Amino acid sequence: MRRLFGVETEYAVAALDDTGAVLPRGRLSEGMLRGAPKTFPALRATVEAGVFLGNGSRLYCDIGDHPELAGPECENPWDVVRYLRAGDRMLLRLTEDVRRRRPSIAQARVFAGNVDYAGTRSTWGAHESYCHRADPAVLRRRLVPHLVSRVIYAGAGGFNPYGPGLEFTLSPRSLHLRQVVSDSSTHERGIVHTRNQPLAAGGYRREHVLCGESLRSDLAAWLKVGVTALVVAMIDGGVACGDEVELEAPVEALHAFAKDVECRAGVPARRGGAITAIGIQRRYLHHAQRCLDAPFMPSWAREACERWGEILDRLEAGPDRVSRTLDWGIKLAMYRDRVERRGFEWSELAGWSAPMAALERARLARRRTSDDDPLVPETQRPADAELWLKDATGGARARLKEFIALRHELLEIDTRWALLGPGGVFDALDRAGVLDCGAGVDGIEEAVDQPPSGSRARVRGMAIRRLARAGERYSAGWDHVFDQETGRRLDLSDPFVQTERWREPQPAPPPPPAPAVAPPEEELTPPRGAEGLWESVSRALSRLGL
Amino acid sequence: MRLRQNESEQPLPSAAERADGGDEQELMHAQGAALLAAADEAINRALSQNSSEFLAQNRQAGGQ
Repeated sequence: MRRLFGVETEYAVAALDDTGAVLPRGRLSEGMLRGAPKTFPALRATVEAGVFLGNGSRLYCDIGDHPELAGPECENPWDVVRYLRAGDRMLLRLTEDVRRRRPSIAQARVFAGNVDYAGTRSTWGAHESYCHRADPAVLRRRLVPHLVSRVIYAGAGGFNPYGPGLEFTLSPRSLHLRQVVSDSSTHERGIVHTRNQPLAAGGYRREHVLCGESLRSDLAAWLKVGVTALVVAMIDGGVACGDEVELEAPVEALHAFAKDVECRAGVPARRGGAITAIGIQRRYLHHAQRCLDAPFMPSWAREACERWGEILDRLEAGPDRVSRTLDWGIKLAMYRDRVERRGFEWSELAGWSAPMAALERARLARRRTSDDDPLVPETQRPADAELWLKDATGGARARLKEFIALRHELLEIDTRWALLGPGGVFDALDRAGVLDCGAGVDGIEEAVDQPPSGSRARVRGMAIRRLARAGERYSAGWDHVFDQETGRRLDLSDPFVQTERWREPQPAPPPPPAPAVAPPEEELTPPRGAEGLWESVSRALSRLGL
Repeated sequence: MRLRQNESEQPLPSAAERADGGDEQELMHAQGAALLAAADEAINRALSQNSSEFLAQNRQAGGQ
């Protein structure tokens, strides 16, 4: 059976002037959005903010002035990774374009990362969407143990963004997750989202997964989406996978798995006893292997199971076996080496958390003036730092200073891991040919311009490529392209549609009676950034009775 | 499993195709050493003069 899934990536950006001063982020992200139609074929989004692009994706600015690229609907994990990498290239190109156009921006940076280490406790998402027709409650119950345990190969690696020391974790974003299911993606984030926004007709639903991280390893990204799509396919097909590994406390289990680089931590299962992440994954794999020829499984299921089993074997053998393959495994090897080069033992890092926490408490206690921004790193305020060091540690000041320098260095390296282009650590290692994280994904440059085959993304993308020259006449959405001049609508409500079918405008229904009481003003407020278009589209849709 | 390295078409040997355990260990050690050498070089080239300033420059807000 054909499956559809995709990923939306929220990028972090930063702009600096020629003195190194930080410029407002929006100057860069809004510039990228405005510049996109000059660089790529694009139509403005009909209702949502941003633009739809000729390769079937949508680009917009999200909360916190982050550019976000929602990739096209894909039928297989090769395509998802292909469009992820194409998206990285597109964002890098747009960043460079803005820098060239605006002389005030001397440096423009774009990161495919997950967390901020500057003290803001921000995280930005790499949300996944899976098209299905299962009962949402059943799907979530059976899917959550998989999402929790897949962190052993789908974790980005890094450091606890809440910790004052250096606590390595398989998944820094997981520490921002507080609930299993959430109706918000910005506060009290959940592993999955309850948003009921199918963006399709025909009884299709969209499972929106919030716990995923941006990954630079193609193989890790491939496994993350490919295996999850297989699990969704099984649940959609009525397989009771996940029931026997249901967890007592999924969020706590996620945190426990993310802490353990040996992948041996056991967590309480609802049916009693303890179960490891590898144990959970092997149960799902067992189901998938038994269902390989079932009609609900995709054609690529066998290869996915082979790769899945192989990575579990490697993880079982220890982290060294994934030290060139998975994001967190590569980082672990690299950071251990760096720590030793700086004269520390990896095993002693945990011991620095308590003094660092004491230092943090002292720093907060000494925060007396209103201009003492707690988010400014302490080394930018040397007088304060010296004072804290003296009070907090006495004779161990020099060693603590070395640890603080090491901490900042590792956090910079982890941030640079995700930096796209020059200065990016992953990109440098990839160019050096020392990694083993390929997934057989090619055709990335073509994916910058062309939509994937096999879904409505192709119809949408090809229409956008053809109609982009008509300026504001056309707009697009996930399930339509709209001609504002004639009221015709390209119907993409079937996510698997293969042909371009334009629908003529329908006669408008009689106008509804005027309300006795005018609605509150805010109900009439259009979405930000879409005011003019919103009004014209609203009028057109109203005329059509839509 | 026949994974390819990046975009090249050269498949890696599967576990069954690999040489015996000793050779495999040696190969892993050599590959690990190459990774660390390349990482050290890349990091030394990329690191800023002031890591905390770098982090502050890239401070983010919001996010989902």
